Amino acid sequence: MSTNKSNTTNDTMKKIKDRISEVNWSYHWDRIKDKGGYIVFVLTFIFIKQIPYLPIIGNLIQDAQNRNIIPNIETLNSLFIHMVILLIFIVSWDLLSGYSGQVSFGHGFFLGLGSYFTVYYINGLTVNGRALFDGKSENFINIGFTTIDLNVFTAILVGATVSAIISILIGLITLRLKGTYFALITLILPLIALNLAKNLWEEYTGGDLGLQTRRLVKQEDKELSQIVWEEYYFYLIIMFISIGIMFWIAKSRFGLALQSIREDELAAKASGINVRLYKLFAMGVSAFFAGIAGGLMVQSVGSPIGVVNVGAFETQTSFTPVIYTILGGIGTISGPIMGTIILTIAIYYLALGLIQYPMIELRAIAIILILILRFQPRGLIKADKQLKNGLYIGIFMAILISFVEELVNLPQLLATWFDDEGIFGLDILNIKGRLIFYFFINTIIGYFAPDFIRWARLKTWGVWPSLPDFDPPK
Amino acid sequence: MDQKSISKKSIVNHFLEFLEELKEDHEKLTETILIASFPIMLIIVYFRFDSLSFASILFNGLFQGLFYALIAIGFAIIFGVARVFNLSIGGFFVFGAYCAYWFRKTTLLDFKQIQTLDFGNMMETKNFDPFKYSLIFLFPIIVILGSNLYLLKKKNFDKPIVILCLLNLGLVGYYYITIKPLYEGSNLSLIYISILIQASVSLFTLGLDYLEFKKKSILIISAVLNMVMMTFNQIWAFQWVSIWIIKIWATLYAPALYFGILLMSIMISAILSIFIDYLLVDKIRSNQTNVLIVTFGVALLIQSIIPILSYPDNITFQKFDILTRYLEGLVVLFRSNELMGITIQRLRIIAAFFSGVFLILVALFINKTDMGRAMRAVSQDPEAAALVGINVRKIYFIANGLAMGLVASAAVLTTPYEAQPGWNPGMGWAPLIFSITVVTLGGLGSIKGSFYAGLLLGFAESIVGILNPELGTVIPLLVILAVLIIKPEGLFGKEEDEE
Repeated sequence: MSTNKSNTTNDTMKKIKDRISEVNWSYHWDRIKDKGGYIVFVLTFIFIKQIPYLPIIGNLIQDAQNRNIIPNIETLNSLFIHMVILLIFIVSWDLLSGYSGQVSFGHGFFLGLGSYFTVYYINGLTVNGRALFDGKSENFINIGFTTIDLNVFTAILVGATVSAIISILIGLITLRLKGTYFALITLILPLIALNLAKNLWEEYTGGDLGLQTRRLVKQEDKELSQIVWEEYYFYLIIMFISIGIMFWIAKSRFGLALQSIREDELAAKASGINVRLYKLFAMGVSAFFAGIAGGLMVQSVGSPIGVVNVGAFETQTSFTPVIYTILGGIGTISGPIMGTIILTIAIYYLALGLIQYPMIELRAIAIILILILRFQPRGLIKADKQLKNGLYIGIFMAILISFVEELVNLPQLLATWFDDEGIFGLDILNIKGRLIFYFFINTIIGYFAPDFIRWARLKTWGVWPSLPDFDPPK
Repeated sequence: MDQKSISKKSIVNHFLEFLEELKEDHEKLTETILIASFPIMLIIVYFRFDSLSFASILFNGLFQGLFYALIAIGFAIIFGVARVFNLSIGGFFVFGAYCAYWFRKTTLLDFKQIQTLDFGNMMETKNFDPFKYSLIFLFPIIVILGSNLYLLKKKNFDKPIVILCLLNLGLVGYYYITIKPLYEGSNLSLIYISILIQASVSLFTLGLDYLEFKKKSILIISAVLNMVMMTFNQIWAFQWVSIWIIKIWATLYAPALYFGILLMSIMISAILSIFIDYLLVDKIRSNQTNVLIVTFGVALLIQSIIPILSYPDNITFQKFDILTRYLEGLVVLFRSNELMGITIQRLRIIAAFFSGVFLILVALFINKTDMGRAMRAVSQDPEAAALVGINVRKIYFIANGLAMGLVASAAVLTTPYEAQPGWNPGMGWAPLIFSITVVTLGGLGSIKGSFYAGLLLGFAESIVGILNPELGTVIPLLVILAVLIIKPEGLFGKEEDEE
């Protein structure tokens, strides 16, 4: 019996062992590694509040926060709220421009429409004595971790819908024109809106001061620090849902049809795709989510009341998605997400690390835009392996050196080497300036190191090493 | 008798033929309608408004219209030849304006200190770099010597080119000898100004050579330009002829300098734009969208780099900050004329005059010269043009340089009065938007169309501006939407055939 029992247990163990050995672990590991970026992205966004208290890396993060390498928790919150809202906006742009090839230079127009109609739905709007929207009173509802105002939430959806409807009306006029012509018209749209909002309809739009409204999350009975995090998590849910929908659309037959329109409109028409309808639908969906981003943007000003002003219609707003998407990689969903995260953080560091010049962001963005389009037109997500490795090495070494720099008195050394203006305007006495400096140096080293190693081996050995990662020189 | 009747008949016949042509030729019809409607518009405006508003509508519309036409034609040329939209117009508008300002400021520096290498109290100020300071002075001299040597070497010491180079170098010496005793003691270093003018002429000659003009015509044009400049510069020497010569040119502080700076800014903007086109745009020209975004990036970059540029001599010249800047002292800003009851700055009249001259020159260049003919060929069919032996890449560069030169000229001509209260590095967006508007209205790639559309928009804006000042800025933009709904291909555009 006992032997039998042991035999059966041995059998089951053997079966399990066989099963395990049958499983192709390397395949699964590869899949996890491929999806690793997404997993890290989702986990970071969810656990950003808890990151300083995590078991292993928590201490390191706290140390970095004490050294000002990483911003403190309040700054992280505002940075991430900004990022979450931008993500919706930018992915919505990529759905229209990256997938269907209709480059829109006026997406800020839809963002502004969304924010204004959100406010109108809450506050009410009367034109010539006729009430278009009668204002809505407070209607709080508890959804587990927070209490939100249902009417404000409806208002965001209403604003987005209005934005979508207007975009389709505009699309009916403009989409019969071909690619670049459409881009020119969309460049002008927000400017018309800006002029009208500033000069003619100032009583409705509030001009530069803007309009004020209630917040989405209940403001009473709680501390501000807690409310801010509740808001962040609510926006995060909205962001995941909207990006999920857009991801689904992009991966479905619909997205395929849009891509075929982008590649060859005539061939798409010939294969039975109703080009105009698809374009209109893409524009409507894109404007809807841009409107949602606009509705959320009203809320994220860091004061107890939401504010909307004509700034949304300015050219700069319309160009942020273009730049962020091109950095990440146009025509993908993960590209703009990556581009947004990188550029938001980069701009934060640049603004603090560079000695204050006017319009520093513009300059950095313009240089990035030109270099990326000239040398890596498919964006960072599909960049050369060498460049990617260089960037990884740059980031890693910058953080590493910033931890150990005080052991070798590096800051003082650098400060004596470079004068008050620093190098390229970088503030060497500031930790953020030094971080950027280390990043640049190490990226350059990381980029050219493989070439140098190849050259050295060629000179010393005279043969190419047969390692898989080492390609012959171009 | 017979002859007369024949001629009468032929006039009628011509008219009938013309009408029949109009039926078939869409472009001619639009042109005729536009030209015919202009006096009608004037009559309506004359009876509808009082005489003062009429005059202001007439002159403002004309000046504004010429300005729009000037910036829009560049845009139209680039689209017509290379089939891409170039948004860097906004950047080069600002670059041209600041270039002129930079040269103007340089003429106010002290020339003697460079000669004696005695910088004195300037060395005490922060950020003073003697090397940069000397380099700024040497820049025009380097330009003169470099361009002349290049011409001599490239043309293998041809007779006309040798004559031209000798003329160029001789005039520098002549200026040095004649002007030096006259202006000793004044704060203007007129020798430097003369050298700057000569440098601009030399650069212009180099441009003519790049445009593949014939050697003789290069010689003639440059010699004429040199003589005109010398006449401008030596206006004091003509006092004995008549005092009214001085009176005519008194509108400008130093007419030769004005023209020299204008020419220099145009040439440098054109060269820079060709360089950027070669470096960034050339390899991605097949993808229209990428060109659109890269050129926008260029515009953004130029407008955001200008605020951090500094001058080695911080005493006379602060950083290009967001402050009020204008071409101070270059032109007498407050001189004005009275025309039909309203006062108009003379500078505006001069700007309108030069705008007209440039428009005519561009029309001549495109219609009469070999390079213009090649340009038209490329705009019709690049592959066929390449087969015939035309360097298509060079044509793209030239189209770009021509357009940016026109934009820079518009900037130098109009900014002294147009944006005078607030010169800032972000002032390039408005011209970009207006050029897009004009080109949309006139039809993409049509030079004639953008000329008429520019004038139309200028008059429309001035009429609306009189009726309702708030609407003045919005109407031009709404015009686009109207055009798109009614006639998407524009006034002079051709309908795109579906393949």
